[in-house]
Amino acid sequence: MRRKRMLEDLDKDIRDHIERETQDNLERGMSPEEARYAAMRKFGNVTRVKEETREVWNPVWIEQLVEDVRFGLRMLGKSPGFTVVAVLTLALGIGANTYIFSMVDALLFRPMELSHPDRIVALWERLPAINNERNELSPANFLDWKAQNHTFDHMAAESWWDANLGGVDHPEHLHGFLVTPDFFAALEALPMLGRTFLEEEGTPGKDLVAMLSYGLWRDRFAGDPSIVGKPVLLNGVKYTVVGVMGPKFNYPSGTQLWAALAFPPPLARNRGSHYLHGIAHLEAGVSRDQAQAELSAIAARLTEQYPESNTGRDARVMPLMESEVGEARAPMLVLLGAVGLVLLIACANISNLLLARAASRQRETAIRAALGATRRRLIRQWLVESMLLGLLGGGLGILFAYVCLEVRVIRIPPDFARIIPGWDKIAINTPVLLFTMAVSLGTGLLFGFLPALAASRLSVNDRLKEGGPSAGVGRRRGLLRNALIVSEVALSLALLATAGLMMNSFLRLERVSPGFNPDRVLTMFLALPDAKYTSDQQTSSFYEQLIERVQNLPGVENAAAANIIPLDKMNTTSSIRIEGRPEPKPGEEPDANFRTVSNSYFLTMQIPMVRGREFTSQDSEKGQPVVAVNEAFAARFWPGEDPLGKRMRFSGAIKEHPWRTVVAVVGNVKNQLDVAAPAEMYFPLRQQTQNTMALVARTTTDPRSLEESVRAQVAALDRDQPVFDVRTMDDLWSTSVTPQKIGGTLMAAFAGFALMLAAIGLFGVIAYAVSERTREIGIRIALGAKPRGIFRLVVGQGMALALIGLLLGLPLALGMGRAVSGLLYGVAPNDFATFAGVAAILAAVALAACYIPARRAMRVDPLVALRYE
Amino acid sequence: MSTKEERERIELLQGTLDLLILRTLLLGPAHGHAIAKAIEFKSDDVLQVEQGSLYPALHRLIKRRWISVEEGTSENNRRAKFYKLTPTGRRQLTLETRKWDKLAGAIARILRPAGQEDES
Repeated sequence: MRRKRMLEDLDKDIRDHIERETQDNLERGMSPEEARYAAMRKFGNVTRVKEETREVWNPVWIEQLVEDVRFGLRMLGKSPGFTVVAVLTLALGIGANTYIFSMVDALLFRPMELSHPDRIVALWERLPAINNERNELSPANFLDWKAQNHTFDHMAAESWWDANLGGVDHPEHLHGFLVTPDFFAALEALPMLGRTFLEEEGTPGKDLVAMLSYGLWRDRFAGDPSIVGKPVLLNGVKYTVVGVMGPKFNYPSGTQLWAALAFPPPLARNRGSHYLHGIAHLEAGVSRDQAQAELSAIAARLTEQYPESNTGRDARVMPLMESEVGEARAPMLVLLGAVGLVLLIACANISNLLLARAASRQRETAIRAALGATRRRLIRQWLVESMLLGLLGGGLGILFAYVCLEVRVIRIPPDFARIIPGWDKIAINTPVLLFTMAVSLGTGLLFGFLPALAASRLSVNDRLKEGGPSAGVGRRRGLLRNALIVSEVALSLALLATAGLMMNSFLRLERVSPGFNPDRVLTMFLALPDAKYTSDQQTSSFYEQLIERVQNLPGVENAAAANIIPLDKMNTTSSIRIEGRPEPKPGEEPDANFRTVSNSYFLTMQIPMVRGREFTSQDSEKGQPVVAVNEAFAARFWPGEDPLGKRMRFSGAIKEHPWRTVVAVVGNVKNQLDVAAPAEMYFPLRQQTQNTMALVARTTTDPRSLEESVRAQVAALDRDQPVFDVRTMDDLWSTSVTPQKIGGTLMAAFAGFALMLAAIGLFGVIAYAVSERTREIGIRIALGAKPRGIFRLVVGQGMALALIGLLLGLPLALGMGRAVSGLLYGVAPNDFATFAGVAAILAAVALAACYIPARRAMRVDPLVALRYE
Repeated sequence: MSTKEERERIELLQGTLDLLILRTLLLGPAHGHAIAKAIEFKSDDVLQVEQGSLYPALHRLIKRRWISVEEGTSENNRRAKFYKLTPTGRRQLTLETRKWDKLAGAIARILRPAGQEDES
């Protein structure tokens, strides 16, 4: 700052000076021209003066830094072997960090773009008694919260919506959301074209308005700039497009269009159906805690008012950003920690290389010291050199990370990727580059620090004399190298153990039986619009006809339909009554998952029929109400009894929800591979009709090859009816193991890299020790030591280090195991087999690393060795 | 300007300019041109300052906080920067002067050893 102020007027000062001199000259009687020339001559070269003056203010350290950088580059250039090894090691280490950080940054730090992330919150119902911290809201509760609060200026609800886009050449299913008008205001989001929803569009009858996402507008409407005001056909109903959102707006992740959500009278009073997500915008000056306190108070009042529906229901306010991060958090943090450890190991390795380098550059250092370089200056020169290495490694690492992102080292199914907030934003961007830069410099400091201290700690006299290092310094340096190796082994063990545990989990998860046979099953969803399929009979008939047509296709073994398919992360739950049990207290009603399935669903999916029968055409609207339950349901509600013939019903008025008789017990089917199957009940299509159903077809060949012919059957029945989420059961299965697979393989890759680094490090240290002890070994051999003894001596030294490393690494590994225990499946965080296995691998690799230097030591020729040095 | 005059003028040794500036400012604040003039005048024009080199030297002294700058009005009512000796600068001047005397004395002794004094 001072520099800037001082240099500000320099030009003017110089001009003034020359003018004064000119004036003086004029007074001496020179002609004006002469006077000016004389003044200029006397002043000298103006540009040089300015330059020199400016240089005065240039801090000395910059000059020295430039010098150090130049010198450092020259030194690195002089030993290309060392430089290449170090830079490559760092590039992999830093690159892995950049790669993982790019994901952490996108998924954890900025899963969505919000201008004021601290003001925008997600609202949930909270049921502390059953540990449910995030439950969807019921319409009536939402409306009461919205009406009674004084802490939010906007509160909105949203609900997932299947929208079939019609009136176009190819009917298409869109991922839609129904949102109350406040939705966009709560997110502080403005449209790119047109407007967002008006308050009155949240009332029944006026709610047929839609907003398009940028992608949909561009792809399906050819970026029509005059789209606003035009009609679109959604689920057979005419909606008016009122606006288009910009390309950056992507909430909820993957949404293609939004339509207004209104609550018609019966729904507005509903406190039993919980399906709404709430978001809200805090009023200026209101803290989240105040808002939380107020909502909790409102929830408590509602509990008093409506004990049957609201007992035990509190409210929860959390930052929307945090709510969105969700499940990615734990695995990403584990991976980030793991790459951090890998980088530490790489640092230890390079420190070791630098220590060796420091030893071989002692004379250079001594000369510099003799010429007057202070210790601080020497240290700085070494640090600059290491930081250069760090930057070179970082630069290459960025390239490495970029390539990893480009070739999609991590592949996840697109359907899965679409709904992960932030996944589409993973990139090497400015924050990632800054992170890498900081890591590169920090890494340089870290691995350069000890060698710099060691290199600069010397007395000039000792070093300039010919001959080996003095004993004291040598031993200290040896200790340092050993300590580094021990820590490398320890860190590697921790990484290997974690990787082992995670891989183990993944392999176990892969072997988990999902309870059905996922081979060769094609699935696709259809959402029949209410406007067209006005009665349940119509809907059921459509699905029955479709199933029959598909069933008759060549290559199809069996076909059926269900509203929820296994492993799809979707669910429908209802509270129920069991016949003969006392009426449960409010808030303590039992509930169970329910699915609507067509006839021969269990047959098609090959879900074992434990007792009873498949649904048949007799289980119709007019037939006796029936239900099939899974084994978990039977065990929970009728333990030790025969469930067949027992009765249950949905809670609520008995007129609407009659008793249903159990006609079958089927095997448990997993919705998530790593979670035990909960109690589940199945209803026949005609007795619990759903508009949105998945067609499932077991084929005799590749199921994908039948997609077109199945689609053709849908079109033959209703040419305007789109299908969506076309997947094979194999796809679903691999999606459900994807997180564990990614976590396990990345961890394994990192641990493998760590193992390699530790092996190289150990090899380097032992080889160096052997070369240092060549004379001693020669003497031993000359005195009659057997080659085997020498071999044992060298290997013993290396293995001793490895063993100490293993011992020290054990508690670290146990700690890491505990830290990742939440991500494990079927493996204890201290699984003995895993720990023993990775320790054995590490020991074997260490042995191999010692083998080559030990062989070399065995072959030392005493005569040559004694002449050595 | 005669050639003889030219030859008798002395280029300044590096660092001496700093000392001369400090000495000049001991008499009171002055602006750049005045300092240059004063040095030339006091040395009977023997010391020839390439006036431009004054500026890096002034800034060097400012950076070391031996002199400070303030805005002022010069004799002919023009705005100008006035350079002023700071207490540190004053101390430094004493120190440097002593050093200079020592150096000058030593050099003089070498150039004119006692025995040859009469010859010159």
